[in-house]
Amino acid sequence: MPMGDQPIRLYPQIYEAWLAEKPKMIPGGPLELRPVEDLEDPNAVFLEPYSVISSKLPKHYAEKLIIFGHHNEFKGFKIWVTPKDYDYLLMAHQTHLDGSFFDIEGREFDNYPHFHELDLYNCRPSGEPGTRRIVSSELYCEITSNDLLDVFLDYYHFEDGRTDRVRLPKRPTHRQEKIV
Amino acid sequence: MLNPEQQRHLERIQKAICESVTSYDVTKGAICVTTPFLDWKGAPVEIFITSEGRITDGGDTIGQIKALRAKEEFDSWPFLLDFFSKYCIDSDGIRMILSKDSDENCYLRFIQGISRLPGFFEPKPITTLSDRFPETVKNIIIEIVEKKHPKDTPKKTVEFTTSLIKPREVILKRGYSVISDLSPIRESRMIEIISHAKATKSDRAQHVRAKVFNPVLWKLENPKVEAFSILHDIADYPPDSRQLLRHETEVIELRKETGKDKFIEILISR
Repeated sequence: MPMGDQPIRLYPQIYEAWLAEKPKMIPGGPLELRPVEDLEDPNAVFLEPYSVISSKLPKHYAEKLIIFGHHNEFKGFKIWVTPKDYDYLLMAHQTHLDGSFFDIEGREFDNYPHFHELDLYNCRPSGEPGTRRIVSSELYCEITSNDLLDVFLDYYHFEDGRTDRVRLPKRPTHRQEKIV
Repeated sequence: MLNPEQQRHLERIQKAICESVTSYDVTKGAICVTTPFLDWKGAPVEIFITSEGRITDGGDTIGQIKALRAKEEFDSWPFLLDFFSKYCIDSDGIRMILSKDSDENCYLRFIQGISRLPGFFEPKPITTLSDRFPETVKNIIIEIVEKKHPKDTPKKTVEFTTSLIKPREVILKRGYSVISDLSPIRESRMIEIISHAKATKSDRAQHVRAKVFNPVLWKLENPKVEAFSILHDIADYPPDSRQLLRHETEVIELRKETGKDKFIEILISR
């Protein structure tokens, strides 16, 4: 059961237990991507917010947890898992354009899709949680938005009732005229 | 007059802010400029400068607002124009753009504006399958039209289904407008998607009243209008809502075996 009502810190042990929680249920699933209708790029999609159920997180996180995603025209698709009113717990980025980075295993990547986890064991001097970059074996260079979501859901054990892979949405090609 | 301790802190703040503003190349010849500020998700606020010198948010702000299912509230937010003016923001409907003729102060106002904006709107998470009934209806249209009523080419079929699943606004003579959730080929038809089946009783009743208002208003002007309600199961709604739906519209229940085909027929027949 979620922990009590008192404000408490998100301790590293609790966060790590949540990362490993299996399954993390998404009751409104299966998740579906929607097209950014004003853009022609097939990867320009967004993911509406879906509630995520957790039995591992403190109540104030667990009761408001959502997953959603949106497109940036220069950096691509980003996925977020966050309580509705607070900072993110997980992210996924389709690109990395700010030089190279090292993943949690010490491998160096340039522009490559990756996930961001909080590193609560290694907070910065300011108190801000560190970040760990994860490059799972299913990710690939220039990954499509649907595959990024698919790999992300599998890697972190999100269960949304899917029986097949996430698909890119069909894109509208013209607008309906008004009738006057 | 600052004392040495105050001076030291001031210089450190200035240094921290200046050093946190960096840039790197992104796609399409643009650069990304990082800022010292965090947005509502705890992520650094970034802005982009295009090769033409336009400063934008790359579509992040409206993208987030759409993704949080808050676009309707955003579009009708009464402070929107004042906010845009105050924070030096123009918008083309996709992205936020720094206003033309902006002075230096506007750069910071713009950054603050785009970081604050999504926080004004409450995300509306999908918590149950029933919240997605409108999407379910649209998927049914896509699947059945592709299988049973394809056009000459796949592209034309996509164009056809796209034209059907768009909402249609009908502007009435008195200046009001009503919305059909779908766009049937026969233009005197209106189709309303009735959802919220698992909401509270009062929410269901209110939803039905709001939906039925559209055909009622249109019929006042044009008695020949044909109105249809698409829902999963009419038993999900309170008795007075059922009565209202049946009185003002023809009800199509998708739970019934013939419901889907009848629905598509209404949508595509001339």
